[in-house]
Amino acid sequence: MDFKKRFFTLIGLLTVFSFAYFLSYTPKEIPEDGFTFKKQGKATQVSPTTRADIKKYNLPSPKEKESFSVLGAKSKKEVQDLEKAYREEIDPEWIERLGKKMIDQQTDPVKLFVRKIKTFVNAEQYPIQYKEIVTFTYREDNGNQVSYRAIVDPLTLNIEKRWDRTIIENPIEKPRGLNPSGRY
Amino acid sequence: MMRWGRILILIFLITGCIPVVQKSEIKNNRADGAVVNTTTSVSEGYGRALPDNPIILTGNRNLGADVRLSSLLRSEQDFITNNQFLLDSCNITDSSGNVIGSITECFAVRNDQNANFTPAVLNRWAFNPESEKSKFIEVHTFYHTKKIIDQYLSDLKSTYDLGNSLSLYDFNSALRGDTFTAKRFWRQDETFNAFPGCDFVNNARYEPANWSICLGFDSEFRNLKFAEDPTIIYHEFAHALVNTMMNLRNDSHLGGADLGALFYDEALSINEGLADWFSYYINGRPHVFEWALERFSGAGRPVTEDDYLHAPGISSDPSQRLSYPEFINYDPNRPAAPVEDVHYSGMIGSHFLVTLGNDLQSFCLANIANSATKLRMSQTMIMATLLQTMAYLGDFTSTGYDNSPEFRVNLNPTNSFEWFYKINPVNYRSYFQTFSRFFLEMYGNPSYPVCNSSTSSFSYPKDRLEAMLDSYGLLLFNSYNGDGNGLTGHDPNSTNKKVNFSNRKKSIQVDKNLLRSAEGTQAFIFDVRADLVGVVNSLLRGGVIDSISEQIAADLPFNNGNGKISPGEVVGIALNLVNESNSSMGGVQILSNDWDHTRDGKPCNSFEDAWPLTSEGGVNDQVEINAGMSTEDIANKPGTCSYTTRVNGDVEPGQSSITDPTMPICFMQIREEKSTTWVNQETFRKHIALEKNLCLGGDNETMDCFIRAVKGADNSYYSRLGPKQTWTQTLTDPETNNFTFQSNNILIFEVSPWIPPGTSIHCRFRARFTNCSNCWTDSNGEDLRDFEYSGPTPFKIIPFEFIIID
Repeated sequence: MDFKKRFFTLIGLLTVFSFAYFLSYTPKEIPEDGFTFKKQGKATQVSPTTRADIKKYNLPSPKEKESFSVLGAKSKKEVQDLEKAYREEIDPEWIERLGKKMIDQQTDPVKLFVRKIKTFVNAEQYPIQYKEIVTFTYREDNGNQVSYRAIVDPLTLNIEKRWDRTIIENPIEKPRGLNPSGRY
Repeated sequence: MMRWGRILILIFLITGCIPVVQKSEIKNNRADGAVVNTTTSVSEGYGRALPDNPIILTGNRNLGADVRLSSLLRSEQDFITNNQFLLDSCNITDSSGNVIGSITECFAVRNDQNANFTPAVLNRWAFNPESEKSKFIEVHTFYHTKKIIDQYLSDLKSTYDLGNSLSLYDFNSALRGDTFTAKRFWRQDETFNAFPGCDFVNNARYEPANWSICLGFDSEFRNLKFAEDPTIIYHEFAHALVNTMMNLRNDSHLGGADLGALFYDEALSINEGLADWFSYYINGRPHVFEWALERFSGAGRPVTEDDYLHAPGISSDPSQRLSYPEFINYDPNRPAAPVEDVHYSGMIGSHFLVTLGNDLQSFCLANIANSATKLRMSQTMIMATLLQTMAYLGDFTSTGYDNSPEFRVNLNPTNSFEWFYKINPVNYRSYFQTFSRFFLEMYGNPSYPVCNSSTSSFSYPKDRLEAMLDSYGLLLFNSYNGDGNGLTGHDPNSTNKKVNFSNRKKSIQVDKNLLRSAEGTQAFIFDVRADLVGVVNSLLRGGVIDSISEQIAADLPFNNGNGKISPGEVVGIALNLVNESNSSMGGVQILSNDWDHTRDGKPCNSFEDAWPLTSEGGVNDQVEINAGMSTEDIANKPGTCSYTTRVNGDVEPGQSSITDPTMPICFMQIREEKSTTWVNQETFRKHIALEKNLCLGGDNETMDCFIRAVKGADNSYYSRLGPKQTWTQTLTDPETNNFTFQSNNILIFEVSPWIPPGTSIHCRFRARFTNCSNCWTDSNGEDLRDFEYSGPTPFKIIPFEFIIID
């Protein structure tokens, strides 16, 4: 009797946990790097982006993340050497510095998520160029969210290209227009 | 390991706990005839979705928001997925059934960004549309997303195969050979997410960076989800497809090609028109948004002229179609009020595609008896053309095809991104020129006839296509530009087909010299601090611009709102241009980016504006002329005013150093006792002995030390200038007498806090428009080469001179 009771309890628990597991299933492993920048008044808070925020704001977690691709490399060793050189040369805090630079230009309360997608190295050029593909996602207090991808130079923090901009339909109300303050 | 764990648990659940429902047990009708959508009413993997929106399903255009969706369900069940969640793979197979391209986690649906995946119940997807509405809408969204994906993948494969077949007849396909194996057909392995329960009032968005769509709800009837209307799902998802199609040839290290970049530009207008057409592509019904937007907000859109929503006088008769550029500002919901909105201007493209599809059915596929098959075949033919067109136009490798040299499209890989977005962006002319070329190469080839009647096979006639393009005002090109925009000009032996000009009846081309600055007001100025802070914030967040000079604080403290250009300000400038012709100008673009207009740092005065006089600092090629060099030789000599950089200011071919840099558009005046001289900004900096590090761009960017166009906000658009009108006259609402500017109308400039008040500035803007007769082609009617857009030839130079006022 005791055995039967234990058995059914075990089966019951297993079933409950199984359902809980399935319900919490997300289809991909989500990398946790990337940073969140929050502007409050003149202060800026910086913290690693949480799993909860990744899910809540649908931040990208592409499969190619962490990939390190090299244009023009000839051997595996060459790629390894370049990866080593990259780690030595690039400030590991470049994402924090980039995010701070970006959010410091915002005057409204807003959250910014910066996530690294991919590093690529152009070994065909001299000196060798390191580039990062990142996504910027801005979340305003009113719930508006816009994002885009960019190619960034991690040494200078210059944004070289921007694309994948959000298309907001605004089918009913158009954005507020501007009136000129003067003319020549 | 995790996956095996899940599989074992799944087996346990399936075998141990789930009662097996046999088909014979399926019950789906209540006694009153309404469909009961429960687990017992469908087979495994199946569920139910609304086949169309509630207005169409009931035939009642006055349907109330409280309609019971369950009353609209069909008794037939819909296949959803055999997976445990609304997450599916995409597979492309060859003719033998072998998978040649596969994305394991291809697309997924969750209620919103915060929600977990909804699991199947007993492996079934039947949810009550009232009591389990969010789950029902998720299934409904998944069903319709899958529908459009399946059709896209099927047509992509057939287009790829058609390209291979036609290669025997000298056809070059823009689809790369590794389209499937390298997963180019699906953003290289990313998962697309749809959120039908998104917290977004009266709105929807496509977010390509996070590859997702967010479908909102009605503000008044909050339970009315936009996703209830499949045409909204098709439209939003179509943006994702267009995005994918534009990048079929691209690798991520070159960046990505968006069809449209500003709030209003013609590329985005075409994108919106395509998104409406994609709804027709799936449901064959030429109207969108009857339920989600039209019923309660008056924002529906037709996709054909024979539609109840259109104003009187519009019909499918060739003389009464939505033609470019007259209908750019037409909103059928409010036909009297002109609007500058990509969705409504996009109707010109969507209507053209539907009309072309109808013509393919009646003319080319006449011997197909089944009307559904005929419709599907015509859509596949158009989709194939769209795929080729977008793969080609978005190509950042600049080759257009595999094994082709660079400089065919978008200049070269180094500059392709800038060419695509700003220097030579997609507009109605280039899009439909490329579309028409591929269409004729695929379906107009006499060696490969695709049309059939009961007695013969034939190819689609070029004249017939041109006449149809013309009925939409889209026959805006003189040649099909088959050999691209290469460095060396057009090959006289190429199959560079010319347009038959007798087909051009409605498509109006206008001389660029009829565009000029208006008398009186030359430019509108925007310098109110709060307005500009808002504009800059919005442009930064949207990824249009990336930074403001470190010389100017983010809250723009120097912006004084006096309506003049003052030191330290960030100002918006909208040039007041007038169209002096008797026809409309469409797609007027004004550029304030750097271009090749100097020689040894001095402004060339040999261009159409003849500015400045040589005695005031201007320079020309008189040395070469005096030496007896021919015009052609001077134009090919790097460093001269007549020579235009081939590589956007980099080291020219055959040279060892930079000879033809692109330079900022604004020059400054130095006044001395007996003379005034126009100089570049670096010369002026030296003249007033300002430290380099105080320049707007810092030590290394002194050529735009004092005033510079903000990169990204250095081109603006006016959708249309009516005949003899300015933009404000064209867009003024006749009822309210109002007009407002949007960000796309304004060029943004930074002004250094160190610029001396009283300084005179002269800027050389460049302007052009889509239906311009001499902005895109040379005197032989051939398309200009891509590099020429770095110079003066394709543009009307618009001078704007002003004094800095403190």
